[in-house]
Amino acid sequence: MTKHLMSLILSLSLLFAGIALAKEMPLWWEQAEAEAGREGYDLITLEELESLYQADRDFMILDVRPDYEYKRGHLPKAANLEFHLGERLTLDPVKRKEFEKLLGSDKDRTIVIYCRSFR
Amino acid sequence: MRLGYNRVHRLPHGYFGWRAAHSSGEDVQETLPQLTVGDFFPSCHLVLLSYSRDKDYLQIQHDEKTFSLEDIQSEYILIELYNEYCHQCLKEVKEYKAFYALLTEDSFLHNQVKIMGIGVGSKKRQVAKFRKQQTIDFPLFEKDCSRSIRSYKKQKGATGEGSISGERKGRLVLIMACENILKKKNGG
Repeated sequence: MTKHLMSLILSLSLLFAGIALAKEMPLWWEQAEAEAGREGYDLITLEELESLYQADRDFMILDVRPDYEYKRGHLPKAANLEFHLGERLTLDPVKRKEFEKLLGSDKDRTIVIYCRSFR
Repeated sequence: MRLGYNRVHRLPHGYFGWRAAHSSGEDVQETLPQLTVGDFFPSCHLVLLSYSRDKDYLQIQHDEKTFSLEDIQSEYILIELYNEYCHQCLKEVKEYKAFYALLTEDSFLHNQVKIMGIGVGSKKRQVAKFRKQQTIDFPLFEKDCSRSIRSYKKQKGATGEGSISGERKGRLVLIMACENILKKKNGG
């Protein structure tokens, strides 16, 4: 009886946790995760990024929107280097060097990239 | 693109997601000028990619590879600002092509209105490839001045996604979607 009760409690806990998570995550999150898997990067939520800021850890935050959008407003401490969708396929060697210069030689440094929105 | 970094994260909410969650931060006031009817068109120099063909169509009198809008010998110029990865732009390309065909058939309007496209974020090779793939007869150009144009807000209430029509001397007279122009032409 106790065993059944524990199973029920666990199932209900998972169910409520699932509902809570579903409420927090936007509808496009799954699609974003699939894209991240294909492209070889991870996703970070707003809350996780907030924690990064608060922890005052060394990380790079990169705004890939055009410079005139960046100038109108950007995330704290963000650097700017525009990245077009077309550059996902072919990246000009000069632009590649610009990225490498900006991001630095430490390949294990945490880098957070953002554009306008997922859509 | 792979640069070999091991801890790359994307904030899929983007700038607007962050901004919605944080009203403060390093935001600055929007100070972009707004393009309205009667304004002068932003200064713009372009490079002829299909030299003879485009030079003849635009009736440019000099032999240089670059030109400005003032060099185009027509009363009006319709400019499509497109991006080859934008679905709406691809849809609009069909409308521009149809409008170009209508203009070509009209002996008077053919010399009065010229159409051209500027590939936002595209380089010469991409523009040439896109023109060939989409079988576009009117000239396309790489981004050169698209940034200065994009830096302007569109006229409030304008229906065009990326169409700007202006007088040759640079005064902006109209912003409207090609779809609406076609409807007018067809008496809609």
